[in-house]
Amino acid sequence: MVLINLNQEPKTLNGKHLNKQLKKEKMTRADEIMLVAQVGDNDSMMSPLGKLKSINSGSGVLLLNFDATANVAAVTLTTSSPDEFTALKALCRALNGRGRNMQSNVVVLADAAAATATVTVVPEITGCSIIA
Amino acid sequence: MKTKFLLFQNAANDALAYPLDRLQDVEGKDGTIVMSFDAPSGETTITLATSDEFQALKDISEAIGGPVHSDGVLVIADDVAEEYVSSQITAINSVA
Repeated sequence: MVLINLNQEPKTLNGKHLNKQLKKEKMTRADEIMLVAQVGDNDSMMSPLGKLKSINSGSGVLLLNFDATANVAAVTLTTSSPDEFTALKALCRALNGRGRNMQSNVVVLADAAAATATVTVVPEITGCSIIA
Repeated sequence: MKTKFLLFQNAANDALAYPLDRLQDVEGKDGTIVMSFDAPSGETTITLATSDEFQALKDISEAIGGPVHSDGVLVIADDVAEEYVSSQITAINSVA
């Protein structure tokens, strides 16, 4: 005979431990790709790629929107190309290619406070103007 | 894990990219398909004009399930270059 306690929450789902599965979904994974950017001294951000919701292009800018669960909701990158779509594709390619094999999981989108010159993830992006 | 991106270009200086995992669903309607995303307000739905909606749905699905070793950039619709992932897609109707 099998007794079922209806007041007790199920501990397994499809044979997998439910608590572990729920924790996995909520946690930032250790191998998650991290996006970092810096506008200037004392003004920078880091967010997991999994929090990225969309990238919207305007005239000369790419606006990255994130899950606004904490302090970083949007990051504005500047582009040099007259065709922002080229920059958008280059950025997506760069994000897609990271975190494989021996590659670093850190993507520096733009570092405007770098020691010598602004560092960006792809040449089509020229800097970071706003972290909000 | 690799992240594929879905790209749309409505006009010059007006483009959008979404990580694939932000795609919620795609609905085929009369002459259009509506792609819904978990995205900020004003960017949640993209309506594409189509000839055969169901074939367009299948073509998009095939593109998404394409080679793992692609560059991860899937241009679904580009009104500037007039390039579309499916021959059944004719334009971007709206972004809302």
